[in-house]
Amino acid sequence: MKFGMKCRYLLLGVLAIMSNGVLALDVKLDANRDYVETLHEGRVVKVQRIQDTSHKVTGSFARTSRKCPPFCIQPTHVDPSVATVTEVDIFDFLENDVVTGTGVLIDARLPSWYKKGTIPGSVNIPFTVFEEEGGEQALTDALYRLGVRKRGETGAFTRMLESWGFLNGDLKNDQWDFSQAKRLILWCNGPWCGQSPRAIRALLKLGYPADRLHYYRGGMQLWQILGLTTVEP
Amino acid sequence: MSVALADAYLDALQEAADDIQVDPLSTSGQAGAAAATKAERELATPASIKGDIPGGMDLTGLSDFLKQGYVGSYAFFKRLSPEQKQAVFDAYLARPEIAYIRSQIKQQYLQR
Repeated sequence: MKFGMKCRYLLLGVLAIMSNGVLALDVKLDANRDYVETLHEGRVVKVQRIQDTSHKVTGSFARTSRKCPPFCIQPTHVDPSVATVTEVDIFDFLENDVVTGTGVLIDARLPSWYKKGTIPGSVNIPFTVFEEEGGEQALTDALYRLGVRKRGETGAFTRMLESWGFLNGDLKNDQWDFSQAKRLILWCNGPWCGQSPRAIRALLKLGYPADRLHYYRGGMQLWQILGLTTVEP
Repeated sequence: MSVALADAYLDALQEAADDIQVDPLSTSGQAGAAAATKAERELATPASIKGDIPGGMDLTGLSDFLKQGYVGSYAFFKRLSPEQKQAVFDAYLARPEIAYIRSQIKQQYLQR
């Protein structure tokens, strides 16, 4: 091959790489952000999208159908008082609440699911923990992590004073003090998953303030479809 | 939910979990390797030497700039010690590029 021809092919190759770099690598998170950074188990993790625009989802989340029950499509809202959020809300939450510790992103799935891969910044508190009856230690520990304190013996007289407004009884019930409860976003496998809805219902039953609870219905299913970063714990 | 039904649900979840696999390309590190961000790509080329961050700011100005435009980086930045903030500011003076500043913030944060 002549030297001139070689140069031409080389130039074409370089141009192809450059154009690929420009077109294929510009998959941003949203209109303003290339990526967000958050903390996951003490390390900084960058959350971005897969940049290969020809890539299709592989793995288990490419599957369209699972038996219902138990894997039934969930309604938009778990409860009228709990907001349902999207990926963009998760990005904001990861950058702010998770980093500063004012919020907790909860992977409410069983550990066997969590171990296969999770959303960066998540902590695994399985829904079954919140469904514990009577304040078992696992529940107490989990709630403590969320800023909730177990109340000591609260006498009827104290409760009465609280209910009359002489003592600050806001966000407290007989068992738990939710006054310092953190903002939470709970998620599981996606619209066909009932694990995080169950966790949210259990938290509401315990008295967790509804305005501090959020449901990410898209879950791992949407996270995967959008090619967003996952981490293996 | 009855105990029997609850157990059946948990069994179904456990069974399904055995086959679960996330898309390998989405895993942290994999995605990063396959996909440098725009800012990182720009750093690797001469075209990256551009004014994507205002020059002539003092430390407070840099802090405000991050707070307004790079909330995530600011969240890390504000938790740094005064010395570490100064190190980031020195990095800004030496190389006023936002991708570089963000990487310096992250580096300082990890060294706390």
